[in-house]
Amino acid sequence: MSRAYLAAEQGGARAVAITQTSFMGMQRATGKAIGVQDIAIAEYPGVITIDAQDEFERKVRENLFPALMERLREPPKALVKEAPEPAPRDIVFTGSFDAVQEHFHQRLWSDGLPVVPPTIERVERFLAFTDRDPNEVIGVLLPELREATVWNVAVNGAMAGCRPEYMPILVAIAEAISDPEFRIQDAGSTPGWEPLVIVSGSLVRELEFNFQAGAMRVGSQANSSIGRFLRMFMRNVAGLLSYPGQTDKGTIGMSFNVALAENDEAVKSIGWEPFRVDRGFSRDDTVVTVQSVVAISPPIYSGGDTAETQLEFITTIFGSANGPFAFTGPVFGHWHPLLVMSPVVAKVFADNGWTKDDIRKHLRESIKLPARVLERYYWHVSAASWKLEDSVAEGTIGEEYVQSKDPERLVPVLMRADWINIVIAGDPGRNQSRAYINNHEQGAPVSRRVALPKAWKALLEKAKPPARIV
Amino acid sequence: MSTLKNASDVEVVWPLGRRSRPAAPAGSAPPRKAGPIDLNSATVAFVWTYARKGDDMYRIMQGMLKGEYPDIRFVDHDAFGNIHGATETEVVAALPRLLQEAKADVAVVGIAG
Repeated sequence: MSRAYLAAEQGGARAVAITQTSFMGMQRATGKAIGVQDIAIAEYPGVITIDAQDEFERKVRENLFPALMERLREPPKALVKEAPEPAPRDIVFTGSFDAVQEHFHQRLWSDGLPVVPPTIERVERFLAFTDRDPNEVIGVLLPELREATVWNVAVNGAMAGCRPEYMPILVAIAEAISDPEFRIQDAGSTPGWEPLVIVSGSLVRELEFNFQAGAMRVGSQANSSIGRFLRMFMRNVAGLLSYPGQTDKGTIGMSFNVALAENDEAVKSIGWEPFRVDRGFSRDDTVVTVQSVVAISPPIYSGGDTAETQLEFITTIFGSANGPFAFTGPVFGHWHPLLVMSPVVAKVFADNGWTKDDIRKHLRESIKLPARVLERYYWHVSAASWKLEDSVAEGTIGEEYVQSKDPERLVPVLMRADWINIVIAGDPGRNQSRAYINNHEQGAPVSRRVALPKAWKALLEKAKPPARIV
Repeated sequence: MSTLKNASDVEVVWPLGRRSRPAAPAGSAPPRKAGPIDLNSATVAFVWTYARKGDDMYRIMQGMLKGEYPDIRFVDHDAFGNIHGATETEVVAALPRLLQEAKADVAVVGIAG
């Protein structure tokens, strides 16, 4: 919205944004971030999607229209004057550990948990694990339009409790979310999606990620602190602040995901290719993929020694986790659900000669909903009408969705089989899977190869943590 | 120079990054003159997210504007496309040009929510 507002002004028009009450703070914050000091807003009081038609029309006539006229009588809004901001190595605060926490909380530079104070000495320990220039700009992140640099990756990695040797992974994550395909500007949208980092490759072992029981729990330093880093980086550098009146409008939202690490040995032992190869990289690479997660399924237990019995409830529960919100796939042209499968489940499929593509094909062909459900849910989300035929006309889906006009006809929930991702992780001794549903084009999966410094082996040897005491 | 006062103090750096706003796209209109708009001779464009009853809302607004300013002209949202859909990037990129071509004095942009 704010970008369309700015584009309208660049077209020479006096722009006025129409905004529901609870989105005015976000509009002002995003407008300011892209250069409009005080965005001109005409307020619709309340929530359009729950107002009866006569109430809606009354508010438009009695509240919104007068506000629009008032905005048009005001002088044009000025562009933002930049206030000076610190340089990367400037000391912005000096004090005790507790005082640092207060300083950072006060300025919303923290996720609400204590942060590790980012001293120059600590940041430099991170920078030792990359050959890249600290000042290198990796990307410019919306909505705040701030530069993601190697330096501030290290700062936020330190704050999140990462170990310095995670730096190559952190840089790859920053690269992934800087890709326009990821659409980080939409990470504050109302569904309240959360990014998920998936790590596939030899660094999973070298950096001691947990890829077994409790793989997605907070608890392992690599998984937990890297997951926390990404949320911290999105707050501090992208400017996605979940604080009233700020840029994050996740209605309820989710807490951050720990990084998911693939069980390479399990994949290899059943003769499947690892996730990084599915994503177009070499087996020899370590690859980071970042995607959105807007819903997580219940545990999917699947028994039996055939693919067919395994699929009985994988299909049902994976399908229901996608659910009616899958209408957003055709509307936005993307839908990339992830199936995380424990090694023994994958082994049953492999023993029966099934590949990941066979599973994808089965899920794509089996999971369906009545067209009416998808079209009706659009109305609940947006108070507007949409038909599958609209998306067929736009070219995001094919004719198979409009084979008849019967609203009860069953149509595919999953747009494309090759957009279903499968990762092997979790307890090797239990037959369980889970679905992680992405938020259509917002946070579509983006992968980057992890680049290691020339002296990686020696640096890692020196940094190795002491053995765990269990 | 160190600013440490106590042995347990630490000096910390800023976790944000420099702002980097892109320049206005080529072909952008020059800055508008200040002052009121004469709506009676104005062209008002309606830009929409294709959600939250914008079509209904814009129809009502157009009726009220026409009642007060009989010579006002409108450009409907379908001249621009959906600013919140699969083609959002392209639609927003084309907005400055399309609004200039339409000689729009006002753009009503909605709906955030």
